[in-house]
Parts: sequence; structure tokens; C-alpha cells
Amino acid sequence: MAKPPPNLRDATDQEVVAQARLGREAAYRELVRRYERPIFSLIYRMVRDRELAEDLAQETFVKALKAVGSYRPEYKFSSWIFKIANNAAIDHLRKRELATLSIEGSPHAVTPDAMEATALQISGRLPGPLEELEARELGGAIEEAIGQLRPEYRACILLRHVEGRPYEEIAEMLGLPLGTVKTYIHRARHELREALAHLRE
Amino acid sequence: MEEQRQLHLSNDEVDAWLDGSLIPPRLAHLDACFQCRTLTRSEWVVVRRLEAMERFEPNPGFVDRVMDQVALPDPFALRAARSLWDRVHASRRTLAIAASLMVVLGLSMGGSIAWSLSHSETLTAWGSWLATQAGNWFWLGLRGVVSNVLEHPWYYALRNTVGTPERIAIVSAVNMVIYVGGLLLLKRLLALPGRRVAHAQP
Repeated sequence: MAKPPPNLRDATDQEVVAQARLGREAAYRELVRRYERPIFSLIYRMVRDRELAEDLAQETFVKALKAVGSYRPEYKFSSWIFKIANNAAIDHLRKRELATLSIEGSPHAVTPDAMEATALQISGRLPGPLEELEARELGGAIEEAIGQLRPEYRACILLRHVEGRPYEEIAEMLGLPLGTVKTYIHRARHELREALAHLRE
Repeated sequence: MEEQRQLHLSNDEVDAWLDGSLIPPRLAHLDACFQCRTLTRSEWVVVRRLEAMERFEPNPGFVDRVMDQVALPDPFALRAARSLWDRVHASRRTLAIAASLMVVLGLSMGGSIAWSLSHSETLTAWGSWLATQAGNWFWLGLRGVVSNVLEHPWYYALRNTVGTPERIAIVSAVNMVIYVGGLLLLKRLLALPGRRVAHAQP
């Protein structure tokens, strides 16, 4: 893989985007290189599935790079790409929520046979290397506590305290009123405090 | 009791304390209030834990996998211009040839403009002669086509088909439907197939 020239590495996001708009491949690569870790981390912590997170992160970058011509430079590139990533993760979680069946079977199943037929099949197989990696990565108390949060809370708290984004930017990214973002973050912190309380005792 | 509760730090004030921007009177309250101190201490622990979380890394080759799915904007005109630029700058000889061509082209254009300005009456006469000739040829051609069409046997059948305003309306409507159908078909044929995002390689 060809390394981008030093001037591109030192350039601001806006300058790199301007180069990308001219069709310079190195600029595209530089944008992906800059944001692959933060975007992947956000999505991974949202969906808690490594392979899926990688697919959604790829989708995010492909969408952003294809639309780089319509990107408006008055907005921060980071806000724009985080917004796309968050939308991808939230959309997926919503779809998964719709598709999820109760472990005892579909709530619409009325007979025991129907309930058995629609129940989730829990595999008795041992976890593979990917599952082990996920368990290790997401196994910390704080990671598990974040995994228990509502997706909206999770997105807000990750953007605020892991990515260090200001409240106003988060509100813009998520398309939520500023007050709602603050409420979500305070509630998320409250839930995390409670979830981690036993560790302090 | 109610008054004391109102004095406790609000959520925004806890945020301000975490950012180090809590105003001194409220800091004084914090020093004196066990409840607020407990709250801010536990908030601080949670926030520090969150801030200490590391970023995960996607599998190696992520950038290449993304780039495989992105078509770079490289229109033909841009490519042709770049190619021409590269060829011109390939050697001193090509640069000299290109410069000579530019000079010849510039001189020709300048000469042409100068001649046109000094011979405007001649140009006007040529222009009017050409316009007259073109008009004559156009009418001659049109009359030839019309007389040819009138001699065909299907002409009268066609004329009867659209002989009344109602028939003209029906024929126009049918033509419009065929035209729109054709357009939709063409659009469908020209639409590129959607590409799914490939699964990440382990």
C-alpha cells in the first residue's frame, strides 16, 4: 500500500477532503486511515459484534467517500462521518430489535409447538477465536456496563467521553435537541455509576 | 430541607465541575456538602474510566477493502487533460512543439480577428449571400420531401387516421405512452446494479 505524501499527513481534514474531491486516491486513503479506529470503535461498542462492526464501518466509509463531492466544508468532517457511522449502527440495532425473537419463542406463538419452533436456538458449541476476542475486548466491567445501556444513551456517552465531542456537536450529529443529549448523557452516567458501584464497595 | 436540596449541584454544574469550570460559590458548597462530594467523586470515576477506554482496531487491510469499493472520480476530460499535460511535459522537444503550436494558433487567431475587423463589409456581404443560398436550399429540399411523401400510397391512409381532432388526440396519447414506456425501459436498462458491502476478511 502506497504511503500518502507527508504534506497530506500533516494537512487538515478540510485540505484532505479538498484533495479527495480532485480525485486523488491518496487523500481518500488518508481520510480512512485517520478515522478507521474511532469509527470502528464507536460502531463496535454500539453493536458489540466485531465482524458486523467491520462491515458497518466499511459501509460508513464507502458512503462518506462516495458522497465526498456533496460534503459541505463549513461542517467538521469528523462530525459528518461520525453521524453516518452512528446512523448505520442505530439503523442496524433497530432492525435487529425488530427481528429479535424472545428466547422462549415468538410472542405471537400460542401453542407450545409454535413457541418451540420460534424459540432461539442456543448453540452448545464452544466459542470460536472471534467470540473469544470479542469477550476479551468487551469483557471489562465498563464495557459490559456500556453494553447494557440503551443505544441512544450508548451513542451519546461514547461520543462525549470516549471521543471527547462537545454536547453541541453530538446534538448536531444525532439530530437531537441539546437538552435531550444532556439528559441522555446524565442518565447514562447515572446508570454506569450504578452498574459499577459494586466494584467500588 | 427543600432549600438545602435546591443548593445541591445540578447536572450542568456537575458537568462544569468535571470540566474544571464550576464557579467558586458552588465549589464552596461542594466542599461543605457530603452528598454532592460523593456524587461528583463517583461521576469523576466513571468519566475517567470512559476516557481511559482504548480504541479498537479493525482487521488489517481495512483501508484497502474500503478503497476496493470506492470508484474515484476520474472523468474522461480530467484524464485526457492530465495525459496531455504529461505528454507535453515529457521532454523539452515536446514542450517546444507544443509552444510552437500555441504560438501559430495564437497568431492565426489574432490575424483572423484583425482581418475580420478591417473587412467587416466583405464579411457582411458573404454572410448575406450564404444566408440566401441556405434558405433557397432549405425550401428546395423541403418541397422535394413533401412532394415525395404526397406520392406515397400510405399518405392518404395516414391522413385519414389523423383526420379529426379526436383521432389526433388518441394517436398523440398512444405515442406519449409508448415514449414514456420507452424512457422507463431505457432507465431500467441503464441503471447500474447495486453493490453490497463485502464481508470483512478475517
